[in-house]
Amino acid sequence: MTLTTLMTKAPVASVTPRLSVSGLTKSFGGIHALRDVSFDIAPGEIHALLGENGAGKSTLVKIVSGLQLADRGEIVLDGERREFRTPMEARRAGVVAVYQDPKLFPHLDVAENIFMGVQPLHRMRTIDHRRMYERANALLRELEAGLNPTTIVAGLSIGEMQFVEFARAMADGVDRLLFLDEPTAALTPSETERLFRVVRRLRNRGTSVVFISHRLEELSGLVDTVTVLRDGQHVTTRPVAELDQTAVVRLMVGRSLEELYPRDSGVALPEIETTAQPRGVARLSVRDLGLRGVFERISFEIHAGEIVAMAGLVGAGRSEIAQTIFGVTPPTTGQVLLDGQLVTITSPRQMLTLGVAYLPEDRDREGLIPRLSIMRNLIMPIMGRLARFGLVRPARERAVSERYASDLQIKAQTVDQAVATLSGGNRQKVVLGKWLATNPSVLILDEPTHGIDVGTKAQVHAIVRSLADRGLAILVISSDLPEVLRMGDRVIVVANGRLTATFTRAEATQESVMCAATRRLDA
Amino acid sequence: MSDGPVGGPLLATGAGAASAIRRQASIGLLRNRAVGVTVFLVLLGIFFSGLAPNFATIGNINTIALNGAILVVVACAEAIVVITRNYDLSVGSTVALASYVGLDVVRHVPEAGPILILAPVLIGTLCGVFNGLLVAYGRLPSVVATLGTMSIYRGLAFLYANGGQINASDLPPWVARTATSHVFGISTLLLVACAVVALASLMLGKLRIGRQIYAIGSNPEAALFYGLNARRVVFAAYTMDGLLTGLAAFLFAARASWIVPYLAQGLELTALAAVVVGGVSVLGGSGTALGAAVGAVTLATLDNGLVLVGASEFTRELMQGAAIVCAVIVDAALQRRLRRLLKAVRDRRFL
Repeated sequence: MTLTTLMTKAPVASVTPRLSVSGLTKSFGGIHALRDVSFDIAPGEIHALLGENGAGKSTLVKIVSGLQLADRGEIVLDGERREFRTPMEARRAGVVAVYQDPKLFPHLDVAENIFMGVQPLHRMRTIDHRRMYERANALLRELEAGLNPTTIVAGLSIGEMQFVEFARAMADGVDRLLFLDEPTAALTPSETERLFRVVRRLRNRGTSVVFISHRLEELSGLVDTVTVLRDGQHVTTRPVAELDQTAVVRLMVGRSLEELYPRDSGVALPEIETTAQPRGVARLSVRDLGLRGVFERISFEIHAGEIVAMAGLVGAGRSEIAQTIFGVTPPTTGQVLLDGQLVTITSPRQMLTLGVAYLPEDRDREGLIPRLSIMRNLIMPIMGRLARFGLVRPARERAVSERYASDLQIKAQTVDQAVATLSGGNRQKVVLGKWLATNPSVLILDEPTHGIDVGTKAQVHAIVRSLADRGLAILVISSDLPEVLRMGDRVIVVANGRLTATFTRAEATQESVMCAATRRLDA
Repeated sequence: MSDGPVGGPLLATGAGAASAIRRQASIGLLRNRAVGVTVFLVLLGIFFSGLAPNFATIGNINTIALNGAILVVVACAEAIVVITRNYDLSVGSTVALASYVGLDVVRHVPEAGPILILAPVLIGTLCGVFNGLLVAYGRLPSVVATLGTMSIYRGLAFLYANGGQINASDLPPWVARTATSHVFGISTLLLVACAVVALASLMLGKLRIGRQIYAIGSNPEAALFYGLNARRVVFAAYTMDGLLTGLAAFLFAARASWIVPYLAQGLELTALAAVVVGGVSVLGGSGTALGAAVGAVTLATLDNGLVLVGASEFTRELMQGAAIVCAVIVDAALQRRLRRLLKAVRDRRFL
């Protein structure tokens, strides 16, 4: 089979592809992650690998970069059939992958992270620290990373950590193939620009760079070729000129862009007890709220049935404001009123009983226990309520969690499946279900769609909208500007710990929100 | 899309700058935990000097050094394993087995001379190799695996001894001289301990394998992505641990008047205590051989001082326990801080 494939292929291609995968198949416990995927990547091109979560992008990268072995199919690198058993083998062949969440050693410094395992050595086989720090410095300068090689990694931002990963890839002499798994998700625009400059330089030197993404915006201007995967299968590989965003989205999800963000959708929701409030009463009212040294003079109101979107730069203090309202860090000044009642905030437990729920951004660390089942996670906050005489009632727990699982369209075989095995979008639904079970009247969502695919995103939007329609007051913190504009009945903007603007839906535009977010208020 | 007014991550607000300073301070603390222990050791010295007039004498400091020297070697051995996020609870039993069997060889072939130091060292290394096989390749949790070998090695020592003991008088004189002789006026025992600390520091700080020991303890998942051979590194760590423990077994034998299979009982806990007090994180990834050595000297000083002020053995045990708990509290607080740092600076994305 190998021979015939090679023989039929060789004369066809005018240029030997840098990477040619054919018939790549991989399944996990009966579920196909990849099914007979074949496509080529040309030398010295920037290639976008697009697809929803679960489309098989990550599996493909893991197989090519030596983290996993394919069940079937072959990988041909520069005309030579290869199979990498470890990431080290792939690195030695000039194939490197940089993953979305940096995998670094927090206790060690930047230079050590860059050169771990490949440190420059003296003749005596001891590490040549002087040369190591010099080379680290040179690499970081080339990447325009603005990092000091002696800084301990634990203190870096995720963006900065990614630059350490890029530097690591460069140190290994990545000369054939570089995979970047959603690199821009955690980068500032200036960091993104720097990254793109580096990527272009790499391409000019003949390295092929593969971007894995579902942020379609970043396609323009950078990428040469686009490959779309859907449900583990190859959909298309085409020059970027032949595609526009709408077309790409349609290929990714098999739906058009307009259908992606419906105002109303038929998503069924669990019954939520709501004490009907006239629309004019503020469910949540925040007056001159401040937390010393973090934010000050924050005032806004959210009415029943309203979605308020909070925009701002990351680091502006949005999550901090939300966590203060939820009682994680009680405020130092100002007032919070729930349904017109003044509340002295002391703890999250207190705010939960008062009907305030907060979905943190980092759902694995703060919102879910990955090793436990969907059911265990869903019923965690309401276990006391489901119990009778202090004894748990398994049948009741199962019934309740199965209802939430189906209402929120959590894709899983049973509710006993561990949360760790779910995709990002489905995990987010579990978090949502977990807090909905507490019957909140105020819901704060911190980056509810960060890192989840467009299809699930639309579902989450629809769910949130219908929750508002049921009378919840909802605060959505989002770094996704289109999402802010689409979801918010009103948009409030925070910059440097201060409220800089409030827009109605009609007033809010990309430009106006962006302006407010970058404004600096003095005194 | 310009981010001119926003500036890079370095352009912080007042609050940001303050938190940046706090962050750097706690990272500095993470880096230099041994400094804190050394300060504690000095304070301890001053405290006992005030309480016991015969504490700060040349003779007594010498005693502390000699008592501490062997523990320093064992602490270095233990530290290597603890940095990989594992434990070795079998060091006490390894010392018993290696010293009994090793010195029995010396007793039977006295004419071979000091080369037979290698006998206990080799047995210690084999114990370490077996631990390493269980933990690295057998994938057993290290606490369970070494708890098992703790009993196995001790049992083997008893079986081998068959009720007997080795008296110092049965051994060639060079054995005891290792503990009593001096080179350039400094006790050989002390020099050996210093050499071990220097070698362990060199290995941990300057060799690739040493840095990989830190890497695997710091983030095993990242180690996988880096393509580091975690099993090999953990196995190597246990082997080195065993080798040094075997050396310590010889030193134990050299100081002891007689060698019995119940030698060095409870040493594993003292060694762990020294390592933790010396600023090696029980969660792996940080700490130094020098720190572990300072920790060992601190425990020796504490013990010695308490004897001099007339504290009972039970009080000494209690104080040792208290020292461990304090050290672990500091460690836990630092690790919490580290985790919070990682979370707090997670990202600074733009819209």
